[in-house]
Amino acid sequence: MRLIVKGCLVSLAIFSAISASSSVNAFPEKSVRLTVGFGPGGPSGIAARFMQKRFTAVTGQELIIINKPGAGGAKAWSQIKKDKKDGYELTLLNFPHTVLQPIARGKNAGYSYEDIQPVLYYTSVPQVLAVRKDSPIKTFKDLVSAIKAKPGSVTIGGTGIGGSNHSAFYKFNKVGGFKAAYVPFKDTSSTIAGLKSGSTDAAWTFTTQGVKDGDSIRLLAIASDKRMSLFPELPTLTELGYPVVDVAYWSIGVPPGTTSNIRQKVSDAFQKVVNDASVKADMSKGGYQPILIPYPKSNEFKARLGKDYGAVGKALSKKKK
Amino acid sequence: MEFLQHISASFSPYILAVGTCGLFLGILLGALPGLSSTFSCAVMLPISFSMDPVPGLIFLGTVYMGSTYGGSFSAILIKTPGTPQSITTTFDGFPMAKRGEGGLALSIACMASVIGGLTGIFVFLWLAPPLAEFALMFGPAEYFWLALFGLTIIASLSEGNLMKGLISGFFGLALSQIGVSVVSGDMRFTYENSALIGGIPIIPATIGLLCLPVAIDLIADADHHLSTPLTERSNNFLRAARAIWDRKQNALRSSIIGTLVGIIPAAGGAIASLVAYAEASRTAKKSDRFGDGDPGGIIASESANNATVGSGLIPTFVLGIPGTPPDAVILGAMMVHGVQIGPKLFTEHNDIVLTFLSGMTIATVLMLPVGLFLGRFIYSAVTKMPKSYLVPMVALMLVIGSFAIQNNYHDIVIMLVLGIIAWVISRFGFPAPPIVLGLLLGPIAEQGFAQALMIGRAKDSVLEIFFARPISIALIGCILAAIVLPPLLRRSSFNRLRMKENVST
Amino acid sequence: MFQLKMNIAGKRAKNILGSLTFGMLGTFMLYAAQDFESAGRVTPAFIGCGLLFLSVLLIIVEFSKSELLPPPTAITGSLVRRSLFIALMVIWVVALPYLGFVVAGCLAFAIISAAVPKNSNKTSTNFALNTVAGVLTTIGFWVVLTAFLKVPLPEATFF
Repeated sequence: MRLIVKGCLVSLAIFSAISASSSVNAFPEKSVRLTVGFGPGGPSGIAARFMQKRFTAVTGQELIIINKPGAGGAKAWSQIKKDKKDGYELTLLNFPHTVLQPIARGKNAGYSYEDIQPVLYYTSVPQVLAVRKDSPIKTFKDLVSAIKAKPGSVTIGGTGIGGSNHSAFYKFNKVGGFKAAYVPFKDTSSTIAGLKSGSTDAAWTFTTQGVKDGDSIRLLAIASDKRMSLFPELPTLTELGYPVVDVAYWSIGVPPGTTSNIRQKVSDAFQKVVNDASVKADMSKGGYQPILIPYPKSNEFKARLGKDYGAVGKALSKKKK
Repeated sequence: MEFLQHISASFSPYILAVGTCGLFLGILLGALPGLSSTFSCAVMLPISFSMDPVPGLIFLGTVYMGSTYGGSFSAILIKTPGTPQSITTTFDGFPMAKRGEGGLALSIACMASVIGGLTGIFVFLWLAPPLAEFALMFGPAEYFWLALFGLTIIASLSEGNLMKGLISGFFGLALSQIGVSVVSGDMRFTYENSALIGGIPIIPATIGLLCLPVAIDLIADADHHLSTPLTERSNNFLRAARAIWDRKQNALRSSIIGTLVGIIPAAGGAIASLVAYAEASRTAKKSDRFGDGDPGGIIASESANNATVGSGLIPTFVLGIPGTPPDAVILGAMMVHGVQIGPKLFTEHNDIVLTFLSGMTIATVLMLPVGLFLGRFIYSAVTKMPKSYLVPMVALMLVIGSFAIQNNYHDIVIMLVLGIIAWVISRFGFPAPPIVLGLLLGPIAEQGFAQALMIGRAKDSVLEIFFARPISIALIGCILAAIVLPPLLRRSSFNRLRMKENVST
Repeated sequence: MFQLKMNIAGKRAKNILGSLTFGMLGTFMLYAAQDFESAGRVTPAFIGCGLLFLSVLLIIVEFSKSELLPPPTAITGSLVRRSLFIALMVIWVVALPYLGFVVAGCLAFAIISAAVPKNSNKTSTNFALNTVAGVLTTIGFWVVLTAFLKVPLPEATFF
């Protein structure tokens, strides 16, 4: 009798091991849902759509993108906790937003830093300082001298308060000892519209806009650690003597409490998609900088970003009080 | 002439099929309450990715055009704007349907949509690069004045008691304050409640505020939802054509207003139809009864919102700034498809633009037969439907419409709560449409005001930025005219109306 | 005459109650605006002031006006059915996350259609017919939305 039970248990264990291993290979077995906290046409929406275009071809399943814009992404992130932990309900995470918001908004953010669980950082965009093509400010030097000539009079646009553009603005001013007027806009395309209409003198924005609007705006400097191959002429702020690095990252996120097995599967599946040559090419052409920080390294990277932006976030929210 | 060649070239069966499919899907999605044009385009993105860039874009463009028109179906028949663009269509469309002229209202909406749609596309075709400059003349102060101008139609919507209309409008503005403040980063009135973090979303709120009271009143008695048509036997097509011909100035002006507002980045069809409606009711004849079932209101609203479809693509293609919210989706699709935008597109890849536009033109013309056919079909379905089926059907669409767009349970709750509030306060004489206006225009006004103030302070020119720019001056003139003129014009007609009532009672 | 006076008094009470409610909302907004940043304070404070001012004005006008405004269109039909419908909608929405879209939708459809007043008295067959129609409609929407539009509708957590 005991033998039979033992045999059953063994065979059960073997069976479950086999099914487990086959499901590792098989993820995803049904369509995968990815919630994006911004509208379908913004940099985040497009970052997700790049993957959607090739997802079916690579994995054999569909990627369903749900746009849930609101509160600078927080509307989507505040609902991560409620998602199923099976790897099929994912959320696109933006950094540094998800670090800065819980600091600035406290409980009103709707989520905490711990709710943010990245499993695969796959793309990034450095921030750039941009002006209108026919602006009297021609070079980075012009901008600096204009800011110095009359502190507080140069207007610089950016998206929102306490977001990544605002953090770049703050860091840059701190490093240079500058004083300028920050004008917040509701989204990236409004920021660019404000810049192009001459409402603001300059803007903090992303390299994606440099590609899209290359004809009508001029990039002055890039806040990354090295020059970007798409803009070989564009100097980094560090080269110019103002060591500011501020890059926005996107990661696939899982709900907190997801097992490491599932995290690994999600990370692996999406890694295959973003490693697809055409996805990479599309992203590079669009001004995105593909990166690859899979699970479990993604945890360390999140901790690093959390440390880097923790101080900035505190300063931004302290400045407000 | 190059365009004519392209029209013939794009008369390929494939493009025609793609355009018709897009149109059909767009109309159906737009007609369902809550499924907005932005949503419809976003849902269709994966399908467009499976096509070549140009057919893909035509597909998205026709979905957009169709949904903008389709929104008028539910606006007219159940007072629920299918898309935010047709909020103003409810003001006159529903009263018309209520008194038995729904078929006529739908035909007018269809023709006005085609007129507006073609205007927008032709302006794009011939004037895109120069008009893109117009988009750049809009700074924060101009947005502020534009929003204020939109709010002036509260006056024409609250015939009888202006003060209560204004209170409703302010209530809408108050609701618009919930959520993150763009200009200060504050979380306002959210009280750590995750349902309120993103603010009051406009689509569920509109559905609740305008349609739930209708549903609540539907169940009160056994009468038919819409009056039995009296004159429906006569030809709606000819009657609608005559109604538009009699108001050709209105149709033309509203198409042009729609075109211009469409070019202004991020303003969109909802604002365009509001502005066109405000202008139409300001210049209305004494005999017109805007807000009470005047065909002019539908013409203004529908021709303006469809004009934004074509013209909104002007800043999208030339400047890379979406002119209307759905254009953001089309812009994203262009990026993913790898179509280079900017002035270069017009010089180096003009064939893409021309093929796209001719596809859109054909689809817009097709909208006339398709729209009239669908209109007739849906209208007779709604009028013949037994009430015991219609009421739960409307209730079901309210729930789906508020949920689907963002896949968010909280939005259903918001729809329900606001709808109940709207019904209760309407019993106290406070109208619901101004709440929608306040909710829609509040953020635009606030952001414009605060940004203009910040810029003005930095440059020591606060007064100049608000009052010394040409478009601002023009808008201020319109606002003053909208506030001052109607009471003067109406006094005489109101007196006459009262005299007549006194005689009859 | 007495009836008319009652109507006026009733209307007056309604107007005053309405104005007071909105006036309180305005006061609350003014009070709450103090907590915000200088840039985020202006608009709510302005809106609060506007609400307060308008509601005070409405009360003043209410007491000072001598003539009757044209009476609003009378509300016809059953108030009980209206309240019942609101209650059903609330129950539906509350139950939605537990029952899931399909079950909650079918049930709500059948119950609401039963609550609609009828001209004829063939209620039992009508009810069965409407329930079938409700189930078909709900499932139809569910199929279109989940399979074609890829909108995941709420699933049951109760079963």
